[in-house]
Amino acid sequence: MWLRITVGLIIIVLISPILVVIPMSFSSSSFFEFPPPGYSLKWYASFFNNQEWVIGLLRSLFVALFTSILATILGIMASLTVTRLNFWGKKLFMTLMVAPMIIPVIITGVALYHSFAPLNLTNSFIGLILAHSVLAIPVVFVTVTASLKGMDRNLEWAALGLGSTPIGAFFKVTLPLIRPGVLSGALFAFIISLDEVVVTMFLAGSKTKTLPIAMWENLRIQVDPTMAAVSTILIVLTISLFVSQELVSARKARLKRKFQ
Amino acid sequence: MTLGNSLSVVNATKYYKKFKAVDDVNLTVNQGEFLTILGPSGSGKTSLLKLIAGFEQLSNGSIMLNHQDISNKKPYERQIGMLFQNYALFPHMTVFDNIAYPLSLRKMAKEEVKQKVESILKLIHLEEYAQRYPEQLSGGQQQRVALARAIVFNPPLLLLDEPLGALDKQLRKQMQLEIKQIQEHVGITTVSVTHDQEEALTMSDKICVMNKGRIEQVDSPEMLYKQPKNRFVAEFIGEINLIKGQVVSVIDGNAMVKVNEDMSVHIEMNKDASKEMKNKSMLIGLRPENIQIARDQTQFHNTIRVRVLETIYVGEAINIKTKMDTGEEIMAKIPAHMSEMIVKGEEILLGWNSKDACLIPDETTI
Repeated sequence: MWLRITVGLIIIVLISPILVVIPMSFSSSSFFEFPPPGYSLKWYASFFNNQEWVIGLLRSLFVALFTSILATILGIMASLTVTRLNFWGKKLFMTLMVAPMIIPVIITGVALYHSFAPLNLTNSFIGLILAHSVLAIPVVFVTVTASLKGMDRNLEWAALGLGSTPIGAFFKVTLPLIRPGVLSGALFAFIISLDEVVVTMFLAGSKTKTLPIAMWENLRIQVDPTMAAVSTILIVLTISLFVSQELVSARKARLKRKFQ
Repeated sequence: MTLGNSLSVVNATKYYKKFKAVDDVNLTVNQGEFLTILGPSGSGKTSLLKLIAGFEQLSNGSIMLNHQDISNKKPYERQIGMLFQNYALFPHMTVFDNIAYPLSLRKMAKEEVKQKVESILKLIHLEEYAQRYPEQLSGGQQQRVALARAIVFNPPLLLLDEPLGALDKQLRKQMQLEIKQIQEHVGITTVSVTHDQEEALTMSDKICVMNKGRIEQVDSPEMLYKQPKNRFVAEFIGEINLIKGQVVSVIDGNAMVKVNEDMSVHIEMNKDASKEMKNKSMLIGLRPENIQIARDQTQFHNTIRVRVLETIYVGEAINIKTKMDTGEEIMAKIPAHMSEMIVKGEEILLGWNSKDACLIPDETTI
């Protein structure tokens, strides 16, 4: 009982500051006020009428999509290496793989800026996608490695024994079985890219300004509830991604049960 | 069925780092034969199976299938059917898709796939289960599906890795017969690996006993049981009494073995038994169930007087532990209805005929 109350309190403390943004985005006031004096959609109109915001959102989605794809492919490859092969320095390799999660992001940002600048990768989408992938690969690596470790290795042997090539076995047997891990890894990669600020600040320029950067710049000059509307859009986007993933896996479980 | 789908393993050796897991193994399995590799854990039997399947690479030697050297082929190029210990059915595919998998890899037309899968489902009596997922089947059903998947593409060779290890005892007996039946029906050359001697004895045409990476003996189940070549085989398969003795004479395959000053034993061996055994120290191998209670000294070729130390009731029989005058212990298995003749601490007369014992080299004296 007390445990539940404590946990409930912690959740409220953690989440309420974030949720407060939602009612404020529907406010009729021109200032951040809680509770809002009245309700309107004018800040959403302000968001969608401003090129800067909309283009920023589209850029963010674009970068996040490709980051997610790239990080997932590379993350799976790294996980396969670690779970299927034994090689000298494997422990070190695994540590290096998750290093971007531990190293302060600002250091990664500085480092990437210095290495990308001579290659003309600053102020380019390719640069952003690569940089975001550096941050996202560890997450994919961790979730996919966990899935691969939980998988019965005999299934791959069986596929090979039945006449499949290793690549065929991966796509027909391994990948379907680790799909939950791959999907959540890809989803996290997408979200990491979507709200990435620090590294992006070093690399983004006027033509590659993503939504979080636009928000950051906006905050420094003026504060109006458009910010709350943007935040709400991002929150809803993120939550709906997670919910849809849950729905997909729940539906699969239901389909399987139907036959029992 | 093409003729001559035989398997030969020639001088196969496998090192894991410095450890010799398989040590210069030579083995031939004829077309249609069911051979079981039997051995304790760590005997190299699973390594040998992996070498045949291609999951491990030979360090030395070669493997021939149907007169072709397959040693350097990848597992998926070998076209060998394999049944895994825990079946390794693909959990995300239905029974139908599981069995169709090896066929679709071979780019077979959909109609033909359907027809083949359906006919094999009939063979394993699971027609109704085609659209189920493996987790919705019982252990025995999963086993049959895995077997069907392993033979549906008509491989020249079937490998079984501890095929019944995951089943309970009752089901295991039933599946032993079922697998054997299907194997004979299809006529596929089969190599099975197990540590379960009963499974080996029931299912195999030939058994290969392995120990420490080496083959100890390859023979029919009957010969293996009756005429083990060495102490390891004798003790690994069934129970056996081993009594030390000195071969006094070998005449027409009849050996006379002296156990001690007052006792000699007659043993009937193959006609071709070598005369070189004479004067050698050997072990007399005597299965407990071949020993009977004797009325007098003339009822059997051999009799000994022993003292009963212990009796253990096991249902259909009683195991009795006895001691000879010389101190050596002898186990005998007597039908349960004769139990009243045995009293703990009393002396009894045991006997056996000369063809019921065998001679085994005594390695300790070499």
